[in-house]
Amino acid sequence: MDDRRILNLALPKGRLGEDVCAALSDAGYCAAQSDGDGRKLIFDGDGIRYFWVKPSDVPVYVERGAADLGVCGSDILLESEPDVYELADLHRGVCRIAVAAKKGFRDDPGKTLCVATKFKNVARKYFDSAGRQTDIIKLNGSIELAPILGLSDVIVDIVETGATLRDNGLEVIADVVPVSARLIANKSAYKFKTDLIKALQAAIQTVTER
Amino acid sequence: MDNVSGALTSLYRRCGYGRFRMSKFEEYGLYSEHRAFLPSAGMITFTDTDGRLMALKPDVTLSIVRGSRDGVRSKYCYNESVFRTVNGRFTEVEQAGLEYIGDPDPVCLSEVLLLAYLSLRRISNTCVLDVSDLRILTAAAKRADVSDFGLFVKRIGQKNLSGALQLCRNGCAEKLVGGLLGAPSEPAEAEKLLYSLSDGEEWDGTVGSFFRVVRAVDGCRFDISVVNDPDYYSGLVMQGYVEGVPAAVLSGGEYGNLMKKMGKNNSAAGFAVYLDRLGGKSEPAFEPDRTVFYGKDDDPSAVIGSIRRALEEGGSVMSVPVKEDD
Repeated sequence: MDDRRILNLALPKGRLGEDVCAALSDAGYCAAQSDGDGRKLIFDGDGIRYFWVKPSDVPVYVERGAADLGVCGSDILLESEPDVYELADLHRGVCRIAVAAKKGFRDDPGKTLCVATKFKNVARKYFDSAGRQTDIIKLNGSIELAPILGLSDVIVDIVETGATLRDNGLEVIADVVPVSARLIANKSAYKFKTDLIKALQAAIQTVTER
Repeated sequence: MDNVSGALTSLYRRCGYGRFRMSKFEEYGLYSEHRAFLPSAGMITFTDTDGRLMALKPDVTLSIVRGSRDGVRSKYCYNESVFRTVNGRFTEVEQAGLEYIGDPDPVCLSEVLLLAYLSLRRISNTCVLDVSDLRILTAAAKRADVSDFGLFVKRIGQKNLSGALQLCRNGCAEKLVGGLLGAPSEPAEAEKLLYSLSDGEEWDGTVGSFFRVVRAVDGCRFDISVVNDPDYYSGLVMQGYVEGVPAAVLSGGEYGNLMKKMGKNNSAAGFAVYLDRLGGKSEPAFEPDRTVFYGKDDDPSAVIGSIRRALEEGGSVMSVPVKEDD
């Protein structure tokens, strides 16, 4: 098939990607299949080539044009601010970014607040808008450990049900922003594959907005 | 790169745009006051022998505007290197473009659009020039009673309808903003749709004057998500794409607000072509008319004679050594 008639779609590995696959299947597209052990990274079907990539890499693939479309959480978009179109809220992977601390934590505005997070830019903007002086520590995982071990006063992290926080003696002290999966598009690809992209957008929105 | 940049400069000069040449550096103060106009904040600075802080030129337009005189219409084109921070590293970026200084009328704006479109066509036949007007977006934001105009513009630029609607406090917003984002790209159809969203003469006047300019140039498309910084741009804005290049290769518009910020009393319009983004599209792969093969025992004068004949006949030629085992 002519490459101009093929859409390249970057999907996030993991549960969100699987959910979106199911939605695409419901929308009438031959959706990508996971091969179980996750070693096969490219699948073809119905004029769409699916790539499985690390969730935080989806905007990179799309912005650089390696993928025409992608699905990723709005948390990643807020953090990396890629130059892409954000075509639709897919109402999947719904959660929020929140500030959490050890139960009973009292913020002292007279002191610099030490914040551990993997969302450095989101955290900086949030605390700057509140005029709060912060020392932001970038971590890549197990963020909940930081206040427990005294590495930070608070954390800024994704909260879905709050169970992980509770299990570790933490609690949400402020919500920063709601998060959900978004369909994003490369700006140039959108210009030259408009009909294909609009058709997929309409189809998947029909399913995800039910 | 020379192939495209030379052709673009020639195109602009054939339309009366004089070549603007600049030194590679200028006083840092000029750029520090207008940082938001620059695509990236990073500049390469150094101290001149007289103690002044200088910067390697990160932009061309600011220099041209600074040198312009009120009430004097001038048309300049350029093909220059600028120096910026790209992905955290100092980078030399080659740009070609033009500036029309001095309250461009509709004909002048259409001419700028035409040259932008022809610039894209010079790069690739598969190209798109999308245009919009910030006055339309500003009027829509006012009608929708937008809470944060800057963020609204950003979300429109992302085609993020739900995000844009979250900032609207007026109930009419869904039809208005949804209509603008869903408007057809074909200018005549888009114009009809925008008139259908009218709330009075002011809206109609803005829409009418914008499409009068756009309709004069075949090949332009309407897209409200074309949004350059409203602090600097004041009316018509454009972005150009060519197939196979993932980001816009051309950007520009009417920048009356920049002129005001720089103390000028008139408006201006122009665009830049980002030659560094073109990669392989800027120059076709070399395909010689003739290939001269030679072995290690061949007489150099015979080989050079073949090359010379090819060049004197006006063709292209490439000499290729033949390995013993070939």
